[in-house]
Amino acid sequence: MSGARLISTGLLPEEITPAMEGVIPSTIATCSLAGEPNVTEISQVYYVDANHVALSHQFFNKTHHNVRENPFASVLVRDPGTYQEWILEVQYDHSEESGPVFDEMDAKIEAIASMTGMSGIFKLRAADIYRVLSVRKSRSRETA
Amino acid sequence: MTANPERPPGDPLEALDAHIARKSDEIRIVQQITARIGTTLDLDELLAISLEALNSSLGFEHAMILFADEAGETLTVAASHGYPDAGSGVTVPAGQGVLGVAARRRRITRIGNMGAQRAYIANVRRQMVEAGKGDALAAIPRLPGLADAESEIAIPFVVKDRLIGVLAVESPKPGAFDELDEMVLSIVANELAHAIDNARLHAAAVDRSRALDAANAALKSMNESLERTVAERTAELTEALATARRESALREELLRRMAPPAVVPLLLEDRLVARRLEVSVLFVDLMDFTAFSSGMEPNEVFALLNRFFSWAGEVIERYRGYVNKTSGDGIMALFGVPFETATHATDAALAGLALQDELSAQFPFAMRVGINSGAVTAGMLGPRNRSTYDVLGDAANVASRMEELCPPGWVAVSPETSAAIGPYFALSPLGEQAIKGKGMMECFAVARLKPLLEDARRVDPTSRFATAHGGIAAEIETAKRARLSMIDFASLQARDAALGHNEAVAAFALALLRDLRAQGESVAGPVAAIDESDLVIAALLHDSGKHAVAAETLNRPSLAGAELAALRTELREATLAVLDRVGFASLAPVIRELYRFEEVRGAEGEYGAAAEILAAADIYDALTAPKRYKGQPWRIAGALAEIRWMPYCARQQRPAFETFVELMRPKDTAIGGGARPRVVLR
Repeated sequence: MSGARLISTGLLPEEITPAMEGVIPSTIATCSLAGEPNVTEISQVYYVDANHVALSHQFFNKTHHNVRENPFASVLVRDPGTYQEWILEVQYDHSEESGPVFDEMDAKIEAIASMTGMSGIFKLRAADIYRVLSVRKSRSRETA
Repeated sequence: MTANPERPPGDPLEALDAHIARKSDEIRIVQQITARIGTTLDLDELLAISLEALNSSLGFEHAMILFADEAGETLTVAASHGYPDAGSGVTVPAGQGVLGVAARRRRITRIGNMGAQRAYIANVRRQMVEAGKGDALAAIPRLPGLADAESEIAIPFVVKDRLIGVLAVESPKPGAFDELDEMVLSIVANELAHAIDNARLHAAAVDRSRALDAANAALKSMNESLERTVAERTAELTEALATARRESALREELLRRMAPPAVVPLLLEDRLVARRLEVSVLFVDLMDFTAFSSGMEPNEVFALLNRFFSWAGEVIERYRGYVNKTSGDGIMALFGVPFETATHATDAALAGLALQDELSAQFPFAMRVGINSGAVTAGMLGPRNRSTYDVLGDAANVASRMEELCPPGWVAVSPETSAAIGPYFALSPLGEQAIKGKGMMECFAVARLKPLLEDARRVDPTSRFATAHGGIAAEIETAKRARLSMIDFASLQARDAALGHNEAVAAFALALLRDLRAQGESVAGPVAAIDESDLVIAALLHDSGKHAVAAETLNRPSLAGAELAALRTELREATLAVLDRVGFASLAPVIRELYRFEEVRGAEGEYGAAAEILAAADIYDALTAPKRYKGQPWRIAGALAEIRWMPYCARQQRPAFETFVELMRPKDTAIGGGARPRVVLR
């Protein structure tokens, strides 16, 4: 993520990055194989590269369960400076339990957890990597 | 992030332009900052410059620098900027908080949503606590930095693969730092880390140098101080030793005032016990001193009396007396203390005579002297700490009485004393005197040492010596005064009560020499070369080494064998030393011969004529002398017979000894024959 992204060669534009700092919680919508949808707030959608984002897997929950049955999900992120909303269509690709992406996410979680006496309890199990299928600004914002 | 007003918002090109502009700006600023960082090796200044530059040039208002400990386990705030409390010295365990995790993992950590994340995790924590799982939770740590920080970038300082600290930049605004900030800060931090390392190395070098200087200075100072300490300690010890010696000398001096010197060692060891002694006690009293001194100033009276006491004390000590006390203008002296002596009575009489003889030359008044001999008990007497050596007993009272009845200018003695000194002194009767508690006593005044011709034990009045050589004693006195005035014969003879011995030997020898010379050539020939004067000097000095021999040894009864031989040797060597000192070293050979002769009684070899003459005179006077260690003195005839019995003379023609017998024998008494007597000679 520390690589230069002066000119975007993928789907995610440079200007989306402020929305991926986790300042404003994001929203993810998934659907079980049986067709039951689930919408939930997540603290941060991590920018991996112009075609990938990552979600932290800390606890077993419905999102985690659903994407392993049905990899397609929709994510809404918000720019804290402009309140611009972005809607991403993503597909669960794989899960990483080590490597640079995992390490960065783990460090951030560890940093915050240690501040609240939750080291070792609140920890990253894995970084779930999603491929970005599409990205667009929300209409409601543009029409506003 | 300034927007370009020429372009509509959200235009990608406009954003790109702004981005490039900002980046080139920041790169320029970073270059400026890193250049400034390189200007100092002072660590504190370096940190201050860096934080100030981060704030003023790059707008990072809240920043702090922490240093890791050696193990990388803790981080301590070294400098900060933009906090109400500088926080210096606050310590964070590695792994806690954003900067703690950055340090532990040695990776840049940037977070922009700390508030939300904290709230989220705190919520989870609350749920756990509510679910009863709170026990497993760690306490919430207190960390330095803004309480409401939303954004933070923490960059570890890693130099040569070693974590040395961390730079943390915070903001209360969410998402305050982006990737560009992260990049810029990482460049600055990298420069800063190396600058810190250099500054530390420099500081360590300076410290080492200072420590070395300090160690050198300390060593130098220690050496100096050691020398000083040694010198001081030596001075202290020297002083202490001197003090101890002074005190010891003072103590001895004080004790000498309380008791005779001989008992001072006993006093020091607290071993002096009272004992019964045969002594002579001498009292001196000035005649009419009160009347004499009535017109004098008190000071003059005391000065005069003190001078008198000092003089009298010296005379008394010359004869081994001890001034026990003075009382008013009187003196009490003891002879034969603290250890009994054979000569206490003669010593006291000699001292009394000397006092009277020498007084008129010193003081314009007369005195009385009284002496008594007898048993007393001697020891330390008086109140504690003020006791003095003193005697108890009637003998002291009788002596005091003798002084009272003594005619002015004389020495009065009791019957006991007169019996002891009778053989040596001419005594004048003082008649029967009433003595308190004793009844009537026959007392005497000591006139003088008995003149040779009046000493019947030595010279028979019918002998040739008495009839033909009457003037020799006077000749001897003249020679003594003319040539040996430096010798105090009286005190020398007092040591073993051999009073008049030297003069007698000289007179006998001189008379013998003259009688030998008056005979035929066969007898006169061998003595022709003898100088009369030399013979007299040799006779007078033949035992002058007695001053160097302990009186106790001289007077010890039944001395024999090795002890006697040792005494002879000691006496001979001391005598030869006296000869040398008074200018008669040339007489040494004849004195040696005399000693050899007397040791073996002439048993071995031949002897010179002078030695034979001296031997005859000396042996005769020794045999007739009343010495305590010999018991009763020999009568003249017995002594002369003993001389004829000596191995040297037995069955031999010995003209010197035969002539001597003729010189001394009573006119009508033949010498020779009869049983051989036994005698010990000294």
